[in-house]
Amino acid sequence: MGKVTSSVLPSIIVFTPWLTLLVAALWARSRPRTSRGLYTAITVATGLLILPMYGIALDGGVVRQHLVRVVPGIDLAFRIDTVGFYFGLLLAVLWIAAGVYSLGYIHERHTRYYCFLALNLSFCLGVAFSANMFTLFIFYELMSLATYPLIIHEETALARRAGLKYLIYSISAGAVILAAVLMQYFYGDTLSFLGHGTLSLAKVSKPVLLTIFSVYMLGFGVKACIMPLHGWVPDAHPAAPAPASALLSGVLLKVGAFGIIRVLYDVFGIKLLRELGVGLPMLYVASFTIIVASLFAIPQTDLKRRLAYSSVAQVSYIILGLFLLSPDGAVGGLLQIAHHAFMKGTLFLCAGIIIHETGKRDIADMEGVGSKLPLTMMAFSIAALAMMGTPATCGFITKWELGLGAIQAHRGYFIVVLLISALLNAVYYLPIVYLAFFKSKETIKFSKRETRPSMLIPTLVCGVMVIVLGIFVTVPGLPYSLVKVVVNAVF
Amino acid sequence: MMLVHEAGSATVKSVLPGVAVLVPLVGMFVVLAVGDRAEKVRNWLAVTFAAGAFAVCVAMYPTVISEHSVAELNLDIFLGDFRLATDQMGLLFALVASAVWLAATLYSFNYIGHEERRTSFFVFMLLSEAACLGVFLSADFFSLFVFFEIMGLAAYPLVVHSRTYEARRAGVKYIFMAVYGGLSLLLGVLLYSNYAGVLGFTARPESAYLTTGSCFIVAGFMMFGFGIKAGMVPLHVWLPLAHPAAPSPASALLSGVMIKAGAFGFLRIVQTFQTPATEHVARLATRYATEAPATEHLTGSWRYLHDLGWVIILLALLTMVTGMVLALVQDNVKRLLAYSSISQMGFILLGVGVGAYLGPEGGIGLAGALYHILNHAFFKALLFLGVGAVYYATHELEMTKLGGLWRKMPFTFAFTLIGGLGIMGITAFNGFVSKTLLHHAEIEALNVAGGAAWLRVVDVVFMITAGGTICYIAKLIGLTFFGHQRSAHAAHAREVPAFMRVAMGALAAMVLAVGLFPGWFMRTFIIPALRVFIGLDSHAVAHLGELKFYTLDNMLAILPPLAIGVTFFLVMRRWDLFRLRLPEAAGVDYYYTRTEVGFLRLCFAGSRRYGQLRAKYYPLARTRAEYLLDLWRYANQEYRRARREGFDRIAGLPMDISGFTAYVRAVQFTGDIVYGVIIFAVVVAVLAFTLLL
Repeated sequence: MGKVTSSVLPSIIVFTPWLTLLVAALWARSRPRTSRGLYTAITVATGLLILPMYGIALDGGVVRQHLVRVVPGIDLAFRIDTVGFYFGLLLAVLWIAAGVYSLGYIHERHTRYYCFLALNLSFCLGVAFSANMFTLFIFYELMSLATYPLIIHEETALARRAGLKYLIYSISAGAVILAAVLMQYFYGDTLSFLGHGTLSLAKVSKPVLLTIFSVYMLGFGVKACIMPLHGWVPDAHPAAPAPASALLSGVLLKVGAFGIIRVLYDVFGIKLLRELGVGLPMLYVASFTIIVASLFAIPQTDLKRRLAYSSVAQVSYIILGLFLLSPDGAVGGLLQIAHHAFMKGTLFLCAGIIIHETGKRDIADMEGVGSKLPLTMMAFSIAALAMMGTPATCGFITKWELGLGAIQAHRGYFIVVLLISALLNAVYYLPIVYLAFFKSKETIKFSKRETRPSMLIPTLVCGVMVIVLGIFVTVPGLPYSLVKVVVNAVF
Repeated sequence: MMLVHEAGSATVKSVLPGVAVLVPLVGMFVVLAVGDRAEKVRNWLAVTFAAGAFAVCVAMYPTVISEHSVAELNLDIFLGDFRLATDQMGLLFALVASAVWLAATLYSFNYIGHEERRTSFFVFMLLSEAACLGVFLSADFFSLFVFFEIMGLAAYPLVVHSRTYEARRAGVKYIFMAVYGGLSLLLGVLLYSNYAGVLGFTARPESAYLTTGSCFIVAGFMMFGFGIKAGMVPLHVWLPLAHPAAPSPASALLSGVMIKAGAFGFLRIVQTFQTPATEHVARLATRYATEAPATEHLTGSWRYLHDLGWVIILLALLTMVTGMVLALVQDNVKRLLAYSSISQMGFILLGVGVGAYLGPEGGIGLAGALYHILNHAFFKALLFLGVGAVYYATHELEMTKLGGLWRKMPFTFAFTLIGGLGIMGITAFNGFVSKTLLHHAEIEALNVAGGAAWLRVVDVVFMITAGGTICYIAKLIGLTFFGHQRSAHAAHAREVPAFMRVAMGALAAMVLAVGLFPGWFMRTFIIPALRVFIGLDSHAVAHLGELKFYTLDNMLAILPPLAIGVTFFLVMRRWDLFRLRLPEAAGVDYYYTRTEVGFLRLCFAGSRRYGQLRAKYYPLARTRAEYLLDLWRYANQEYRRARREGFDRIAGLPMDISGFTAYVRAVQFTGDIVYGVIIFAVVVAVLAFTLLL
């Protein structure tokens, strides 16, 4: 275990994005272009502030900061451990990509959009860096609310409906999480995250523990879109503007999964979960989600809706990996957080470019898009192949680790779920690639005017990351090295 | 990755395997960068990189063969353990692959010059070469799988290159079969690592893999994956569509080389079943003393290998016959050659099957398979390039519309004829050598097994298929090059340009060289390759090196197939059977397609039905949510009013975050429900406790 240090850095990181509000208040009207540049700069600054903790995180160390004691036992405090750092870094990277992309994509209501984008980052970082369940809950709720303006950004009737649905789902989920936190507070010793389980069968009876566990799952399951709690996802994603969908799918869904990780490793602990025997039922739920969501994705005709269903399926890979309760499975599950973020990020950003440049949303209209937007569609194809688990892309690494994890947990038959899912991924992704590149006879012509560089560059960077994460897997600093530290500490 | 690798006997650290994969890969990027701007430069670059890959493979030969060692490269970055290694068998495959690739790339200069998307063609040629060499040079099943998948995908753009309807249809079949195969192979590899405890090709004798029947599960999944690539019946359905659809140089590679990755996989599976020969020396000694059938002495994993052997033999027979029969009735030259490839893969699998069946003495079967792989690569590539040249000159692939070309295209005719004689197995051409070897192997299986009656069938099928091969190749060459010109295209044909002739000539020279110096190729390439099969009886393998091919017996052995071939020809001419067409429902593909389409229909129908149900029950849910919606409407009214009147009064900020303010109000209005839900949740939780405690 690494050492524990105290620092004010966590709150600086978490509250840096708030500078956006200041910039907006000062210059949004008078200097719109400068202020937009500054928004992006603030996001980049946040990312840079996270980086210094890299060494500590890789050693398994912890950075703490106590903010305020609400009542005895309930504190507002930050704590950056390896998994928090991993998630925080991912958040920052994706946010920078989406922020730069937004410069080209967003044409109206800039101020509201960027303010909530920044607030969202702040709250998500708060979730990642929270030191106890109470802090996590507070930031989780704020994050849920701050996402709403991003979803209804375009203010169409459809977007409003999706927004309403989203609010109903996430607010009720918040209430459920609160109930779980209260139960944990009353029955457990502490709400703090200590790197190991704090509940135990010695003090609390099994039915109570099972209840707490299920209520937590019900609460976080909405964001992590475990079926049947996924209802808001396929509506919210197509409604939101592309960079917001990329963030929704890339990281905001993972905030739910991150909550589940905390519940797993810092509330219950692996040993207790094994004793409770909750692994297998959750595996069934995750498998059900993976297969059924993939089946739902097949008949979707709207590109972004198909991607949304795919996200529902892919996020359950994380759940599947975590609840295999084996080291390799956990590696696979945790890796999936970052890997899926880049894959789905690429796909949504590409979808955004397609919609922005051609106005096409229907998959049937995608014929020949590849010859107009060759670089975009190449990035799309790479990400789509990664979704199928093609080797040399990051999707394969997660599949392989999950497969090993399933064998390690003596539940080899869950590999079949992964394989069926990969096949279904092929069924609903390959037709898009086919239509874009191989249906029409047009020759591909690369042109400098494919789309705005502010949109193209983040997309290509994400696309390249899909390959980099799939080949240079064990290079220190990339997800695998961090995830290994987390898993070694837990198991 | 925590898996332990079996240490090879004598390994030499070398970067060459990596370089062999990297050269075409780098070439791909270079070719992509040059693009259409400088066609000539790009073409020569492509050939240079293909030649470079061949040169690297040749450079590995001394290390790998003479020092009896394995050149190895370990890449630490990829999951900590990604190994490339060249063993003797991998080297044989890599040499053949890179040689044929070089010829096909050279051939493409002119051939592809008349088509669109030329850069894309060369890019994917080089990418699939890199992946294909990767398959052959991989040190374990993990890296093999990685390259196998990439190769499958990289070849897709080659298949659909022309973008015609046929090509696209073939592409769909191809890509999905590749995906099925890849997934099955992945499952096999994961299970293998679990049971065998290693990923390398040599399983530990004491592992669960070789002591329980689990090897059959693994082998089953892997054979499904490799079988699809190898065109094994009944998994061959993509092959007769995809190989003809691709441009001819790509067809030559698909049929000549990439299909061999499947056979390579089968050989690797057989390798995993083998345990070191030392354990069987005593047992073999008893056998020589008592002259009892060897297979009765096979125990443990050898028994498994024996059983696996006859499964492969049965599949091989099915593949041979199906491919041959369907090849006979084709009119399209490339489709005929594609079915011929299926049939010839049957011959190769027969050799693998017999090699497995005979256990420690299976060297002759495996040698036959390896030799036929080498030969088939050359003559099938040559035939595809030959008919490609005909297509280049006439734009016609239907045999019935060609004819009389031998005078107009003498070089093409001569080279195609050499390829044809090779595949027929005529004395002095390379097919003769490997077919003789396979025939010997299959006779030995019959003898050693102590007269297992069903093995007699093998010999009969072997003869009939060899006869059928002679018949369909005679038909191909006869209708294409002889007789009168049956179309204007054929009448105006001209000899193809020099590069194409050079490429075909090189392959034809190889066909002749193997046919004339069979012993040299045997000793230089085939016998060393057999060393990877650690369980083989070394005396028997050494004996193979002294085998004489041109004996009277062997030469007479081609008479029965010849007679059968002539009979076939006469019978089919007499009753017009060449034009026989089977109904679609007679082929397995019909049922595969129906299943796939049925599945998709189910998905769409399910979605439609879900929509109907939603429309039916949604109003009901709506009334329940009426209260909520009312509140929401009110919130929206507030929002609109707020927008109309402006928000400057809120906190006095000149900000355009009006949405936020309205949103705060909305949250306030929905607040009731929020608190209701919270209270409800807490009450439920408390109730649950009181009930449970």
